Amino acid sequence: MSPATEDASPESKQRQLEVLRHSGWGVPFRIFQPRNLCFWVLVLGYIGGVTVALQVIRPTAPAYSSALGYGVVLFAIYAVPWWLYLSHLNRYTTVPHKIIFTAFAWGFLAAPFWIAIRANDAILTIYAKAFGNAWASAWGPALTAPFTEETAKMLGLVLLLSLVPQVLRTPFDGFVTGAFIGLGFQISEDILYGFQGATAQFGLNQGALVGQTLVARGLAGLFSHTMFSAIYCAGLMWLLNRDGSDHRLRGLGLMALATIFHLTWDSGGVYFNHVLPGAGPAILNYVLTIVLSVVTIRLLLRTVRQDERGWVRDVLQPEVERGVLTPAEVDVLSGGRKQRRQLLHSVHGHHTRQIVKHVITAAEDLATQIAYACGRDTDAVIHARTEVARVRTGGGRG
Amino acid sequence: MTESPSASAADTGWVPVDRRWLGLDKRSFGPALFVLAVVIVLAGVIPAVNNAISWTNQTKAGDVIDMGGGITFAAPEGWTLTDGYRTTDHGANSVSPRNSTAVLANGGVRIEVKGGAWPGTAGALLSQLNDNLTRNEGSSLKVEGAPVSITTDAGDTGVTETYQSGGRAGRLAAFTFPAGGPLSGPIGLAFTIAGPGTTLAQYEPEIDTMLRSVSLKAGA
Repeated sequence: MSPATEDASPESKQRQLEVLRHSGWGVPFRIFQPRNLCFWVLVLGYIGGVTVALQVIRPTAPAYSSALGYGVVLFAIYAVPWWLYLSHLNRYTTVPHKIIFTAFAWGFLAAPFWIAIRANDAILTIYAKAFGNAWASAWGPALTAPFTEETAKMLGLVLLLSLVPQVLRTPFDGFVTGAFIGLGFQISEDILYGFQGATAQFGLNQGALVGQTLVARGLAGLFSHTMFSAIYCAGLMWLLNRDGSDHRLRGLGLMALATIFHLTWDSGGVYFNHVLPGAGPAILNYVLTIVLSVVTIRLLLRTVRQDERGWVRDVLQPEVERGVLTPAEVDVLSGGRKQRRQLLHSVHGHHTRQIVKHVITAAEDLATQIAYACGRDTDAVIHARTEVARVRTGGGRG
Repeated sequence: MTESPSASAADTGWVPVDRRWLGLDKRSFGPALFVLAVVIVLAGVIPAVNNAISWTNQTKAGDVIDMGGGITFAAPEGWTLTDGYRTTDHGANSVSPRNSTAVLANGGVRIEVKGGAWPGTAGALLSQLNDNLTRNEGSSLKVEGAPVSITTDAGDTGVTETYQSGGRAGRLAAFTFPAGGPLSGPIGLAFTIAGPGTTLAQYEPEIDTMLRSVSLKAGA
C-alpha cells in the first residue's frame, strides 16, 4: 500500500481540524512566560517550597541523614512504576511532558512545603488548644489534610491553566495533571514520613525503619494523593466548564467526593484512639473507602477517556480515507488492550505480528505529527506517513 | 490548508500590547491573585490565628503523663502539655511505648520526652542522644562533666547529663525498661530539656522531681 493514494473527504478533514482546535492537542506552548503573573507565582511556590523544606529538615538532618538518603532512593524507585502507569493512561491526546514535570514539581515542593505543612501544623495546634491533645490526635488529621492538601495541590493546576490554556482543555487533561501533582505530593510526604519515622529508635536502624514506612505508605499510597488529586482536578475542569460541556455540578460533586475519600482515609485516629472502639468500624471504613474510590476512578477514567478516544479517531479518519491506515488500526490507537489483542490475533505468524506492532507505533507517531502540524501536511507529517507505509511492507527502505 | 487550530499566543507567552500592565498579561492576574490569596490564608493567616490563641492545657498537681505500656512520669505543675496525654485523658490508652512522645513547655523551657525500642543500657542510650546532638548542633555543643546516675523513686536507675549549646542550656536523661509484662521488647525513655540558662536553672528542682518520678507500673 502506498501512502496517500486517495484524498480525504472535506468533511472528515473539517472534523479533524475542529478536534485539534478543541482538544488543544499539539498546540505549541512554553512554561517560561515572564509576562504571565502565574509563571512568577509558580516560581515563588518552588522557591518557597525548597526554603520551607530545608527549614523542616535541616535541624535534625545530620543525625538522620541515612534515613533521608534511604527515603529519597526508595521512594524514587517506588515512583517509577507509578510514573509509567500514569504515562500509559496519558497515551491518547497526550498532556506534554513539560507540563507533567511542572505539575509533579508543584506537588513535590510547593504544595506540601510552601502551603500544606504550615497550614496543617497550625490547624492541628488550634484543635489541640481548643479541644485537647486527645481530640486533636483522633479527629485532627481527617479534619485538616483533606481541605488544606487538596486545595494546595489544586492551585498548581490553576496556575497551569493560565499558562497553557489551549493545551489543558479537557477533564482528561485535569485528571492526568492532577494525578502527577498528587504523585509528587505523595512521594514528598513519604520521604518526610520516613525521615520522621526514623527517629523511633533514637537513630538506630534508620534503614529498616524507612523500609517499614515504605511498606506501609507504599500500600496506602495506592489509594491516596495520586487518586484524590486526579479526581479533584478532573472535577475542577468541569466546574470551570473548560470543555464547554456544562457539567459544573458534576465537577463540584467530584471535588467534594475526593475530599470525602481523603477524609475517611485519614480518619484512622478516630478508630484507633478508641473513639469508636473495635476493629470492625475501622475495617469497614477502609474497605468502603477503597471500594468506592476505585469505582469512582474507574467510572471517571471511562468518562474522561471517551472524548479523547473519539478525538484520536477523528484526527486519524482522513488517514483512513487516504488509505494510509486501516479502520482496525485506528481502533487500536483509539482503544485499549482489547482492540490491540483482537488485531494481533487476526493475523498469523510472528513476522506479520511484528509488522502490525510496528505499523501501530508508526501510526501513533503519525497522529502526534498531525497534531503538531495542526492538521497541515508538513514535511514531518509526510515523513511519518511514509514511515507507516515503509514498516507495513516489512521494514525495507523506501 | 489555511485554517489551523489557533496556536494561540496564550500558550507561548506572546501578549498583545493593549492587554499588558507593567509588561504583564492582565488576564493572568485573576488566577495568580487567587492562588496568592489562598496561599496567604492557608500559610499566613491560619498560622497567625494559631499564634494568637494561647494554650490552656496547663498541668495540675498530680497529673501523670502516659508514655505507654505502663511507663509514666509525674508532670511538673503549671507547665503546658503541648503534646502527649495524661493517664486520665480519653484516648490515652492508645499510646504505644515503642513510639510515644510528650512535650511540656514553660517560660521558654521545653521538655521533650520520647519513648522507643532500645535494646541497650541507659548509658548507651544517653551516649546515642549525645551523638545525635553532636551531629545536629555541631561544634557549639559542650557537654558539662560526666553523666551521673539518677535513681527514681521506684528504684530504677537512669543517667543524666547537662550541656550548653549556642547560648542555651540543656539536659539529657535516659531510662530503660526491660521486656516483659506489658512491654513486648526493651524500651528506652529519653528526656531532652532545653531553654535559656537562667530559666532552666530556676526550674531545676521540679525537673529533678519529674525525672525521679519515672516509673513502670507492672501489669498496666
